Amino acid sequence: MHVTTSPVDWYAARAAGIAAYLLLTTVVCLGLTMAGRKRLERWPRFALEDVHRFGGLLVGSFIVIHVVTIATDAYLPFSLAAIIVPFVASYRPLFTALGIVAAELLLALAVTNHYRARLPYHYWRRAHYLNFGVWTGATVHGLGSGTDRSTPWLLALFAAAVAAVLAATASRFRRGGVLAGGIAVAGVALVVLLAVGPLRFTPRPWNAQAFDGVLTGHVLQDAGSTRALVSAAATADGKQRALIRADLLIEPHKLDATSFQLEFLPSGMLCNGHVTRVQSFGFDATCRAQDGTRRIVHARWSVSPDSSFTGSLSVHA
Amino acid sequence: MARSRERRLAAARRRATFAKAVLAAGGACAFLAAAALAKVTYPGHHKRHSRSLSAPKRFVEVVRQNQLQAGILAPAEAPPGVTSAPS
Repeated sequence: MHVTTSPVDWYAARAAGIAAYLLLTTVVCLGLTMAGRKRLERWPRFALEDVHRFGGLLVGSFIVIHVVTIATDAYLPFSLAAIIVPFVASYRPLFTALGIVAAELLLALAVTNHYRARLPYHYWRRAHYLNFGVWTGATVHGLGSGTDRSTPWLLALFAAAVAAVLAATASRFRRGGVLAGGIAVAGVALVVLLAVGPLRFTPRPWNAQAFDGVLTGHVLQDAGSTRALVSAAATADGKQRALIRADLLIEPHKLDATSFQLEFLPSGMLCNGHVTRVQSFGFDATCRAQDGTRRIVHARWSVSPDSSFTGSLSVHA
Repeated sequence: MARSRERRLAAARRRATFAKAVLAAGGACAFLAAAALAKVTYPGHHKRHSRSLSAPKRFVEVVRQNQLQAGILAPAEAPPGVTSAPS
């Protein structure tokens, strides 16, 4: 199933999930409007039902894109079973399971809609109420497992969606006006509380401007008669992972030239520059990254007898 | 009376078709906007295996030349020619 490593696939997976959720919210609100006793002069029931049904198909289409793009991305750890069976996925099992259950419940409800004419009305109507479960599952799935769930723009979308559905539900049960507004505000507050509380998520930085890390590496020497190359190569672990390498071209009693390289992981962005100060067990360096930004680097370590070393790395702009 | 009802139904159908087009366009716009925001927020994952960084070519060449001149390193020799035995 893992057939592509294109980042476009990953953007499509995330975007399709968000688009499906927004459309689902729209369809749920439309359904609540239809279910009310209030009749709209310019919108007879058959026209609203037509739009409602079409919206449901659009939601299904975006969910298919969401699932297929996740399944085909070689980076993501989802097997076919992990996408279909709840709690098989290793990535945030509860929140992933909620998404799977919501999608499968939506599929089951689409089947009941298809056979609506053959089903007793009360049976279909009760089953149709499960769409609230689908929407709730999708909301918690997005808040709990979405890659972008810590971003203000996505939190704003979730807050607006929750407010809209709660207000429409209050209006449906003829509790409009101030109460509907109050319930909507409570929904927004709930989303914010969840986002800053139990569902708080701090993603790893991407090509961080400043970070600290633990260095693990080794010192290499390649000597000629009058020239020598002394190098330090290491990996930095921490919030921002990185590879570093400092090379010193040495003449007797003189530093001929220096080079410094830093590779940000996982982006692969390189920062090339030179060593500005050499110490017995460390160095300072400066480099310019491929995006044009500059970094100043301080590395300090203690060496083992086998030339390997461990120490610390500090990077700032 | 019947004609008026038909006119109202036709207008409702047109409105429903327009609403469906708006919904589809809205979904597509939401998809594109979310993809753009996703790219800005968290651009992507590593698309190649990381490999050790290597020394600059110029540095390696300078030391190699120095080693050659000092006789520390012997220049590469061509392998002996291969001849077939006369039958």
